[in-house]
Amino acid sequence: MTQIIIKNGFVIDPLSNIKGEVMDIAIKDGKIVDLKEVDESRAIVIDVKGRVVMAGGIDVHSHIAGPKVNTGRLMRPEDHYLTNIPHILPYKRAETGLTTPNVFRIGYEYARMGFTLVAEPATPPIKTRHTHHELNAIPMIDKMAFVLVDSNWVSLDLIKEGRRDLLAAYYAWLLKATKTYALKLVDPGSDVAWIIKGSGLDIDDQMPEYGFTPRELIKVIGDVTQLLNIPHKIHVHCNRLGYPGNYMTTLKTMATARDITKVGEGLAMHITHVQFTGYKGDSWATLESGGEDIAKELNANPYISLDLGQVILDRPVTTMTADAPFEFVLYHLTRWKWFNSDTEVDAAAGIVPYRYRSKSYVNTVQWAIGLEVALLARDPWRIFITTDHPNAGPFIDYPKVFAWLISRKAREDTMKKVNQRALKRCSLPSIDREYTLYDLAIMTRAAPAKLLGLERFKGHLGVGADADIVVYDIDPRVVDISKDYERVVKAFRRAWLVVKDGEIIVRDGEIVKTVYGRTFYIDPEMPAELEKELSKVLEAKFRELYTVALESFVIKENEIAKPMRISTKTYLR
Amino acid sequence: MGVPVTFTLKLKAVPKVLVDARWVSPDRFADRAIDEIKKFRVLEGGWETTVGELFEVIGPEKAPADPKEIDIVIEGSTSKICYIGYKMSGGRIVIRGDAGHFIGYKMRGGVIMIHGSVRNYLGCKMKDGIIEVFGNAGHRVGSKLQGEKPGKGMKKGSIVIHGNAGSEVGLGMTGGTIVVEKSAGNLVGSSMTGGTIVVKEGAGLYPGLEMLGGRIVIGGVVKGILPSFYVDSYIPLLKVRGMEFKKPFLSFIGDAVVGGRGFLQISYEDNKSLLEFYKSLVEEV
Repeated sequence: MTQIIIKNGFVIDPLSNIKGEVMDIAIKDGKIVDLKEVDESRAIVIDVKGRVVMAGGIDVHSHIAGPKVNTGRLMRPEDHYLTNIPHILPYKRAETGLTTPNVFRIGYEYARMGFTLVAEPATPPIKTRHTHHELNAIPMIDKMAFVLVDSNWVSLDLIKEGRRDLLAAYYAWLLKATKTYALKLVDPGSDVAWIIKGSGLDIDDQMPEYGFTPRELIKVIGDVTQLLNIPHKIHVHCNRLGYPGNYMTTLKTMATARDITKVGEGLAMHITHVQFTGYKGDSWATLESGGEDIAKELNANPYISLDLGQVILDRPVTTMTADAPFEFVLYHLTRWKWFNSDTEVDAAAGIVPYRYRSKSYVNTVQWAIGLEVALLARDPWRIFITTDHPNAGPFIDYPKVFAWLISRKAREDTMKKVNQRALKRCSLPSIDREYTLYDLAIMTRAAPAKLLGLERFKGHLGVGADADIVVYDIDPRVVDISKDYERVVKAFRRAWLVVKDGEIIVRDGEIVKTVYGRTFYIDPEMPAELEKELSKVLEAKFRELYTVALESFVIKENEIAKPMRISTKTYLR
Repeated sequence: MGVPVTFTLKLKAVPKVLVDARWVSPDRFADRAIDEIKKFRVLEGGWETTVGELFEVIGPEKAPADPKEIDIVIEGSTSKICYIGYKMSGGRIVIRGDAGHFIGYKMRGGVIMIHGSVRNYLGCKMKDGIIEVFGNAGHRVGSKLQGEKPGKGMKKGSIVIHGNAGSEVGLGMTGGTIVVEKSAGNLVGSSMTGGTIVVKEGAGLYPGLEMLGGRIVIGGVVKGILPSFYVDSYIPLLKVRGMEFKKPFLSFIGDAVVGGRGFLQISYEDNKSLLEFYKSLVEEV
C-alpha cells in the first residue's frame, strides 16, 4: 500500500493534546505510523506548510440513508433539477440533489468537507436492511446507523413485564441482528400513542396500553444500556419536539440522566438536535429562546451531551423524522407535500419539505437557539455541531455554522439580515464568545470519536489511528479567523487534501478517487442461558407481531459491504 | 431600434437523439461574432458538439449588442431540438418545422414562432413574451416543473396554439394567457393560481383540478367536471381577452378541495347533459 508523509503541517489534535504544532505525519498501510517506519524515498511526500492538519471529521447525526431518505428523494424532484453534476469517468459518479442528495453526492460532499465518519441516526429495525443497502452505496465515508427502539412493541412488552435482563438481552440481540451501533429514542413512546390515539405525548403522560410514562421508558433503556456497556449509550430526541414551550420537557429529559444507574464508562445520554426542543413561550407568536436554560443545565449535568440541529436560514430543507405526530402538525402549518408512515411494530415516520426564512420571527428565534446553546456551553467536549441534515439545513452548510461559532463578526453580519423583532428577544446579540480552531477540532473530531467510543482509532492523529487526515488551506497564525471568517468558510467547505484509510481522495477540494468506507456495528456479548431464553421469547413474539420470520429479520454480515465489528464486554449475568 | 438582423440556422443532418440547444437564443448571440456563435456548446444526447457542427449558420459577421435586434430562423427543425429560447429576453426566433421539449423555458421576453408542432413543456416557467405555435403542442404548456408549488408556472405573456394541446395545460400557472384554438387534453389548468386559459374546442377530463385562482374557458365538449366546483351563474354571451363566444356558458367557482377561488366557464349547449342539473340549481335561486 502507498506510504504518505504529510510534512510541515500545523497540526491540531485535541485527543493527543496537540494545540497547534508544526509536525510531520507518516502513513503506512492505512494507519498512522511513526515517522521512522516510512521509507521517505518510496513515500509520497506532501508539503503542507502554512496549512492546518486535523483528523477526519465525525458527524454524529445526519439522516443519510434509510427508507425515509429514499421517500424524501421521490417526494422532491424539484430538489434535483438544477443540482446535477455529471460524472467524470473513471473516478467520479454523477451527483444530484441538495436537501435529499443521491448516495454519491452524500459521500463526495462529506469528503470535500473533510468528514470521514457519519452516523445515520434513525432506522426502524425491520427496515434496516434497506438502510444498509444505501449505506453500502455511499462512497468515501465510514458510516454507522442507530436503531429505533422507543416504540418497539417487543421491547415495550418486556418493559411492562419487568424483565430487565431479558430486555438487555433483546437490545443486545437487536443491535447485532440489525448491525447497528446504538439505540435511538425518538419522541419516546409517542409513536404508540400516535397509532392508538392519534396524538403525541409529553414526558410525564401515560403511554396508552402500556401504562408507564416516557420518563420511565428513558430511564429503563438508559439503565439497560449501562448494563450492555455499549459505547454510545442512548441517543434521545425529546418529547414534544417543535412545540412552543417544549424547553421544559427537554430540561426534564436531561434531568433523567441523573437518575440512570451508572455502571459503565461514558456519558449516560445524548440529547439530539436540541434547537428543535428549546422553545420558550406559549405560542408561535410569543416564541422565545430557551437556549440559555438548556446550556445552564448542560453545564450543571455532567452525564449528558448535546448536538445542535442548527438552523440554516434561506435554504430549502426536507424535514424527515421518526416523530410522526409532529410531521402531521407541520404539514398543517405548511400545507404542501406530506408523507407519513407506520412501520408495523417498530416506529413511524414523516416527511415535510420546509424553508427557513430569515425575515420570519419564528425561524430567526430557531436560528438563534442553536448558536446560544453552543456559545453558552462551557465544555466543548459535550457539544456537537450538526444541522440534523436535512431537517434544519443541508450538511454542506456546516462551514457556515463553524464561522458563526468562531467569529462574532460572522454572527453580526448574519444578524443584520434576520428578523429584528425576534433578535430583541434573544440573548445571542449579547454573547461575545468566540471558539478557536482547537475548540472546533474538539467539537467535530475528538469529542464525537470519544462519544462513539472510537477514540482508539478515530478522531486523532496519534500512532495507530486510522489514516483519516484532512488538510485545510488556512493558517491561523497568519489569518485572523474571527475577522476573516469568509476564509474559514471557504477553507472548510473544500478541504485542500483528504486522506481516507491511507489513500488520497480529495485534492484542492475536488474528488480524485472514489473509495468505500466501512460500516461499524456493535456486538455486545451475551450469556448463553439468557440467549436461549431470549430466542424462545423472540420466536413467540415474531409469530405474534411481525410479518417476517425471525430468520429473515436478522441481517447477516455478508449483506454489508465492509463490516467492522466492535464487541463490548457487558455486565449481564 | 435598428432593423433586425437575421441569423439562419439550417439543420445539416437530422439528429437521432434529443439535442439540448439552449445556447440558441438572441441573448447568447448578442454582441458575438459568427465564428463564436458557431462554437457554442450543444449537447447531442449527452455528447458535446457545437452549433456549427449541427447547423449551417448564415448571418452577418457580428451580431448587434441588443438581443431585441436579432432574429433567429431555424430551418428544417425536427422534434429532437430542445430548449430553444432558454431565458431569452428579447428578439425573435422562428422555427420552420417541429421542435422538441422545453421550447421557451424560463423565457423573459421576445417572440417564438413555431411553424410546426412542439412536444412537452412549451413555455415552461416563462416570465414574459409571446409564443405562437401553428401546429400542435404536447403536455404541460406554460407549466411549472414536477414537484414545485402551485404558482411556480408561467407568470406573464401569452401562448397561442393553433392546433391541439396535450394534457395539463397551464399546470401551476400564475398569470398570462394561454389560448388553444382546437381542443386540449385532460386536467386543463390544474393547480393554477392565476392567469387565463382559453380552449376554443373541447377538453378532456376534470379541468381545473386543485385550481386556486385564475380563469379557464372551455368552448366545447368536456368529458367530465369535478364535483368540487360550485356553480356560480349562467352567462348568455362570453367575452374573454378580446375573444367573443356567441353561445351560453355556465360559470363555476373552485376548486373547493383546496379552497380555491378560480373561475371555470364551460359552454352550456355542448355539454347539456352534463350541465343541466347545475343550471337547474342556478335557476332556483
